[in-house]
Amino acid sequence: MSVQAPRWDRDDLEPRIAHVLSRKMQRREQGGYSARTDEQVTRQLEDLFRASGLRDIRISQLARMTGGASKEQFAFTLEHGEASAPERMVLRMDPWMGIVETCRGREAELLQTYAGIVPVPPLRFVDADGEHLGAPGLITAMVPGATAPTDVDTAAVSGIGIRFAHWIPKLAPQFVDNLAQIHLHDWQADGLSYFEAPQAGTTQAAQRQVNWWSRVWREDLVEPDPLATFVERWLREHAPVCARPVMVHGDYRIGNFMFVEPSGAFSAVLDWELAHPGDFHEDLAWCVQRLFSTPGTDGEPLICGLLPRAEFLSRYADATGFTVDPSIVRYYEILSAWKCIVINNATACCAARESQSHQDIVLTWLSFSTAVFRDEIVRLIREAEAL
Amino acid sequence: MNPDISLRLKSIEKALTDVIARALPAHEQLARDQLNLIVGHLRIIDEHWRYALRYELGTLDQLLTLAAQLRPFGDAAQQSRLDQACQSAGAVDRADFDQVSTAQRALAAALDRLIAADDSTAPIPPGLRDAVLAHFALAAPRERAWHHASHLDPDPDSLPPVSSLFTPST
Repeated sequence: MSVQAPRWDRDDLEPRIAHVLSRKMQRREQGGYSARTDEQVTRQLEDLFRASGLRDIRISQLARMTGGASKEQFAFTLEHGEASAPERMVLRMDPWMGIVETCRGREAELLQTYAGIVPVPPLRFVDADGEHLGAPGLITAMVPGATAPTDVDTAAVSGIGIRFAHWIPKLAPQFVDNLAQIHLHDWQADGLSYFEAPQAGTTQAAQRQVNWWSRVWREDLVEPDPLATFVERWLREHAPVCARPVMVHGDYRIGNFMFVEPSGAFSAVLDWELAHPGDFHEDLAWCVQRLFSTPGTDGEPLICGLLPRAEFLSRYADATGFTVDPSIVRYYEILSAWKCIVINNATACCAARESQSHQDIVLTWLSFSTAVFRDEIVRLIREAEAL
Repeated sequence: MNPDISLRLKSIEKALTDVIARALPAHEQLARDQLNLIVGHLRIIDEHWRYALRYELGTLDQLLTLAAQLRPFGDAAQQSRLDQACQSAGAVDRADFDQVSTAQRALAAALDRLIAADDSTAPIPPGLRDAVLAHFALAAPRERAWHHASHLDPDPDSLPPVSSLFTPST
């Protein structure tokens, strides 16, 4: 009788993550997706506001927004019977598929939890399961500022390629400090209902991330990729212990913070949709990815266009009091690059092939970046094996 | 052929940039952004179309080499699947893009199965690791060069031109 070799447990996921991934597969059966019309959006907003108890609702100046690669975004002005003045707001809604599948309920909980700790867009309404909007959506107040300076010539897709030039001295300290505040906050005391922390002192934090993205890889696969398969196995084998889980932002990078001119003060940390309880090294590793770097005046790569790598990690350690382990940063750099292959090569191409988004052309464009991550992974694993 | 593919692509680009773009209202930013990406895609297609078959053939041949290196690490079932995929790849009409592409995906899928080792928690054999990394140390820069015109590469100056990826024999 043959004895079967032990196998990895692929099913250990945060329950809400498992739920939204299953929901995505159900939506895929509905056929292609087209961009919503202004009339549809106005009607759906009115439904949500009525259900929220507002009266004498008036929606005006509805305008489609650009940026990002996953959500449909609109700016609009809301007036209603209980409000003393009109308010400009932003709606973020899910298409059938974006470049990532995430939960608006989780995003809303974090915007509430982190208000006053780091700058975030003030939450106004959430429809976590799309009961009124027709798809999950979230509404925040409009925040002043921009993700790129207005006086520096730059061409960027989804924030990649922004240059900060003379703004760096104002922005870099805030970039580090806000990340530190996100990680230092005791989110577990806030009773968040959509999150479940991994067990401290185990490898569960890393294993859950591998499970999340390997499930996405399997469900969205367009073309097999031996490197992605190899890396998944490597990540499972080398998963590090997480001593103290924190709230990981998950997409803390260039293009995901806004600042106002001329002060340079951060007005918002954006895109909390990938946030999850995990290892703080994961956010550090995400920031230092090559794709998000831009060269400084002397040609040295600047992390997210702001700081040399060593200085970034050192400032973070000072701000948090955490000990940064280079081998764990390296592990999560490999996980980040693999995750980017999953997102850009599997999900982006799958969404475009199945016509599931309002911006299929952006998704296919971003899939060009996969080669950069493949190249990085080879270098990173060789370096990790040598550490 | 006349008009040739490049001429047709350039004509589309001119219509988009000279006529369609000017007709778009300034506030329709999503439409303007997508128009810019359409033009970008057209330029990349214009660079790719003449080399696409040779690029796919190069990828297939590289995977065949990797298959030979990884075969000893598979069990009997994995080896059998891999042998079948290699045999099919060897029999394709190398002038037929779709056949080459299909064979390449089938081979990659068989390699996936072997590398995943049925989800076993057994450590990765060092020889398998070295072969995979060596393969992609060559394949990834080639792929980066192929996609250089997307301007998403952080080190574009290090990439050779697309035309240099192909020797006359390939």
